[in-house]
Amino acid sequence: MNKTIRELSAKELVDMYSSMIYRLAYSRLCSVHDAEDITQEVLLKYIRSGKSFRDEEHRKAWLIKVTVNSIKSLVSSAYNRHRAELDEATELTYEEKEPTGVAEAVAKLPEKYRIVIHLFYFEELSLKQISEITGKSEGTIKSQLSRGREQLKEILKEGNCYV
Amino acid sequence: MSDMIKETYKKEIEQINPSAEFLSSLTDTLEKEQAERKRRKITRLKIMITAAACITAVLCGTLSFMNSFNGGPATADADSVSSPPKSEIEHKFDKADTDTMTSKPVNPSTMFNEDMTAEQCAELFLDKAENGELSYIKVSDSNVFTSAQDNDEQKELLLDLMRTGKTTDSIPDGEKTYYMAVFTDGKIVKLIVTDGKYIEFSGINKYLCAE
Repeated sequence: MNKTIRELSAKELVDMYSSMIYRLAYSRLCSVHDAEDITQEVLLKYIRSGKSFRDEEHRKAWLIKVTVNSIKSLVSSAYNRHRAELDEATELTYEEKEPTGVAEAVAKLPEKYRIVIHLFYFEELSLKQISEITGKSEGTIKSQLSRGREQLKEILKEGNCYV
Repeated sequence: MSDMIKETYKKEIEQINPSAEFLSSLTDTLEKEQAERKRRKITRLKIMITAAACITAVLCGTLSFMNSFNGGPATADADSVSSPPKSEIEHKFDKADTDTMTSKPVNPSTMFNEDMTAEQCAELFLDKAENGELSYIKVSDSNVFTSAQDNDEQKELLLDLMRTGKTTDSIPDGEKTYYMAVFTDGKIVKLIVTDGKYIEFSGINKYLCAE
């Protein structure tokens, strides 16, 4: 019989994983509001799935994968496509936190490189793990990482940072 | 990416955190969701238990009804009223089968008596048979009937022989066929037919010769 780790309470879930999900979402979307939505959506999906996991690494990988997919859905949603119009019509009531330094530079990268850079350098996942999460081949991930790094260097150079 | 850039990136990202207000609200939402899931699970379990209990009750009721229907008192029918249970008769057979035909009569005085001629015995036998009092006849090639079967055809042959039979003093040696006739009143008569023609009423030394 396969061993599985115990289910977490709501508080434990929030304490252990909310920051990880939030940061991943924010690094890609650069929006506090969207990052909060994604965080709530992912954790609700976790509870509703009733899924059991063999270890913490397995659980973490699942949460990251669901986060990446949720981000993709949000980006491709009709709401997001018309977002520019909405922003013009609505007075923003929340404060957007602009990333600074290297994080700011990463936020300037093309969208497809942001998640890969974040997962590789911040979450310290392997190419294989990132490939499984994103559904792309290891070769593609390696290539995106390489190009992302190159472009990041250029951005940082332009900003006279860390050259 | 140099280690310094990597470390800087990590430190900057670690500064990005959801607000305490959001986390508090998120915790409440998740707790409600977990409670709701638990409640639904318990409801589903209750429904399953109730359904299982109902099915069990229906099954038990059906089985109980079927058992009472099958194991109830036997309805009266002609055979059971007019004839004793076969097991009782079979018991008599078993006892009779252990006796030889010539050494111990079955009980001739209950059906025949010494004063009757062979023809009178046959007449009595035929009357009872024609009145439906003859349950069955078993036929064997020996005086042991335990594995013998009922034989309607042989029964008819025997009755035909009796109808045409005349009293005779003795019978020759020959091929013998043994009959055991069981009547509805529990009386048993054993006969021996030799060469398909001579009838001996076992135990009372009465003989018939059929034409």
